[in-house]
Amino acid sequence: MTVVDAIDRCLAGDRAAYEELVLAHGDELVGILRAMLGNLDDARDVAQEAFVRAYSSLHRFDTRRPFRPWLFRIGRNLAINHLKARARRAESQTLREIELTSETKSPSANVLEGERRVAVERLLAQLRPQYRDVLVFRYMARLEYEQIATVMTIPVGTVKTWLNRAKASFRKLARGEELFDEE
Amino acid sequence: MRNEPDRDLYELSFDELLQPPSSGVAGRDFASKVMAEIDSRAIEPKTVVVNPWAARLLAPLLAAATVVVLLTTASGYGSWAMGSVGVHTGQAWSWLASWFGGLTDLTSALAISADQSIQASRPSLAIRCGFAGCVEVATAVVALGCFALVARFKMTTTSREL
Repeated sequence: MTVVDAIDRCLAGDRAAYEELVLAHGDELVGILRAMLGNLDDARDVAQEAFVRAYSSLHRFDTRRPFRPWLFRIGRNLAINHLKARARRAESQTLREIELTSETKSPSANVLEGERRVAVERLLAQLRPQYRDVLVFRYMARLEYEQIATVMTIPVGTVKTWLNRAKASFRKLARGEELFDEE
Repeated sequence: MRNEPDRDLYELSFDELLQPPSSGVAGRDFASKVMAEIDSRAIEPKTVVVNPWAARLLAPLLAAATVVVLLTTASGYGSWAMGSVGVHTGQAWSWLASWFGGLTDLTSALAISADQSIQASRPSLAIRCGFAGCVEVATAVVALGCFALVARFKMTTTSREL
């Protein structure tokens, strides 16, 4: 079943079709939101809300365009709101530091997959939000430049510029984490 | 300048570090929660109930009706308003009628009739101007409502055509 078929069935009242869409894209959306929010529980909550919002706006989706960027755009907007709310509560840094510190056992353990992921999340959290997002959409979601531009509502040229700057910033931060062998 | 192998390594490193999310973080349970949330909020996917062909006809009809209502009402009451401040209604209307033709004759008659009935009761100038202002505001509200309807039909048509 294609995405377009699933959406047509949803609009015709077939709820099971939407559940299939959630199953097909849930892991990816939660993973991306986790990279943005640095917290799996928050990522699941925001992803759930994103799917609910997407369901209520399904009639507005342009089926000539890919579904994933549309869904990611909803998720990203909600994530931004979530981060703002978290910042207002002045919990962001404290929570993040507690969580990531508790997950990181030692610097030498970075070679292990789980530890590396935590370290990457910590580095992403240190990037400017727009740099973090272009990296996530490019490498985790494997979106094209044009699709990233759609998700983030910026020109394609800006996507390329931010991606270059994001990679440079990430590498600079990563040197301290020994994630790159260069230099 | 960075040579080719280095650049490959650079890209590979990012591909390795920022891998697509692993499966299992949002499985069947997650999907069930999403559907339960949708149920709890009683959300239904909005469907388009307007026939696109009807919308295509209705949109221009509504637009035309809006323009006619706006122009005839404005011209009719405009001539009455001019009469109320001293300009002879007949003169004003003859000028306006040459613009809008026979369609606005009815409005003209209504306006003159309203003018005469109001004049007969000898209200003050403030009351007459206030009445004219209220009519103009009501006309604008009706016109805006019609435009909103047109816009809605237009959007509906666009949405359905996707």
